[in-house]
Amino acid sequence: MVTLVTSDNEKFTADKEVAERSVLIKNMLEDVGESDQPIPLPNVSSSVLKKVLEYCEHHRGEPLPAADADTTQDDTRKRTTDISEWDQKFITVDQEMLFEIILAANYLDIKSLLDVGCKTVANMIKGKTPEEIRKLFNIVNDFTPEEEAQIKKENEWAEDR
Amino acid sequence: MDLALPPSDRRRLGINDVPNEILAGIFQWVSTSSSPPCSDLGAAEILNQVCSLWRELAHVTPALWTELNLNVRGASDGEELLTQWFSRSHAVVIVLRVDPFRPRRPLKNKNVNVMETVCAHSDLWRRFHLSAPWSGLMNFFTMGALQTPNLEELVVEYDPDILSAAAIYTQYLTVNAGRTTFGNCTQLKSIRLGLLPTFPLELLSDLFPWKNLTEVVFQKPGVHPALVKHVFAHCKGLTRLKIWTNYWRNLEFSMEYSDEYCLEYLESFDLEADIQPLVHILRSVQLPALKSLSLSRIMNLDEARYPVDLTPGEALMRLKEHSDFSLSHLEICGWMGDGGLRADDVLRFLAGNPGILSKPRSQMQVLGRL
Repeated sequence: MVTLVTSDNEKFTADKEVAERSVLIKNMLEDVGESDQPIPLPNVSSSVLKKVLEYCEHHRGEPLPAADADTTQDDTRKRTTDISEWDQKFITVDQEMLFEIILAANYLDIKSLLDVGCKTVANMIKGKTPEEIRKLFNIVNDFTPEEEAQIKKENEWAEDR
Repeated sequence: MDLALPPSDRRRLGINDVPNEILAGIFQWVSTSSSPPCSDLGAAEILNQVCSLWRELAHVTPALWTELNLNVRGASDGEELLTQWFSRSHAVVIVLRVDPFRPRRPLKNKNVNVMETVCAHSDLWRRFHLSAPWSGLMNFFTMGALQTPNLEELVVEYDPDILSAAAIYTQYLTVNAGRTTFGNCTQLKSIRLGLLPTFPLELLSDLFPWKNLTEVVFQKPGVHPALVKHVFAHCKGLTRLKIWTNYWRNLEFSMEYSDEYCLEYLESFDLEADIQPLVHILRSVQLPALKSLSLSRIMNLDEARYPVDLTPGEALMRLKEHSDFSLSHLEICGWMGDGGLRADDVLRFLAGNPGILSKPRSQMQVLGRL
């Protein structure tokens, strides 16, 4: 078993096999060798780590993606934003938790979870206008009048071409 | 799933708090979408218009700028914007359609300007698909030496226009850069050409190194018959060949058997032709690795006026004698009956290809009376 300590000082214990879905934790365990020392995770809160461990537990034993997977253009073209049913249910959370999970997956280096989070956000963006996207994510339209004019010109060209 | 932030939570973690590399990753997922876009704009253009951070990030995410559909109608000046578009891309699929129904303008018209801008970025082409009327094709084939290190697939289609309807197209060249050639195109494996039998052969024969190709498709309205011969003589790495060809008699073209016309690796051959090219090709070539053969007939009412010295059945047997292949798929469409293949021709051919008969019936389709 491995003990993990979150940013709000909560301790979690997990099977080594589950915790090692995180490349960061796996590397740390390899570095410290056999030890009962708890592993500090200062960038992950307890509520988020709970979700991350739920994900890792569900996907226990599945092959880990290669380090350079999906990096070539060909792979990018073949990728789809389909998400499995369990993962979809798992990631149905409020926006803040969604971005927390994405940040944690990035920090802990859990590629499959990062992909699930990014795909979910991508699916939220798809089919929306810029204005709808701004509203959805509470983004401020900060374009200068010059940029607005340039965008208008680009749109006219894109629609005409 | 409504995940919009409630007003009271507006200062909590949001999308722009994730690192740029993750946001760029999300952009890439958006661009892989198969869902219909919300407007004429693609993912790149939509993301580009959300806020200044997204715009900046979108501009340095080449994966967003990989597909460009250009429908050149000469209606607006787009060269500068086109150049900006290319500056954001690393490799791009281009579909360029020159509208055949625009009035022709001599020399430096907007079509030429757009074509020149597109060709100035030929080093980015991954797949290039041009559909154009005669004048547009002439523009394209006179763009001089283009570097195309990323090009994998080339499609050039003639889009019929009023000039062809009146049969007054000419071989005039509108740009002075010289005959187009693709340099450094080691990735180019697949081409599809649908021009006209009268399209100048000299503009095609050394357009690119034909010997590297693995797939060639000549589609309606065909190419010069000499290009068909050129393929059998030069494309030695071909595994798939599809030819649509007719009017050989009108061009006084013929083909005779030669060792030179051996495609050692060709596995799939689809030939759609009238009787003369069918007979000439089948009797002339060697295809020892052939597994799938499809013969479809283009009806030619003048066929009786142009007798050939072999019947289609005899030509088919010549192909078998020269090639000694072991077919597993045979499809014959429109060739059974008068002036075509007889039942005993097909049965004789099948007897020499037991591989077809041992397969499920779907491997052999003979459309017509047998």
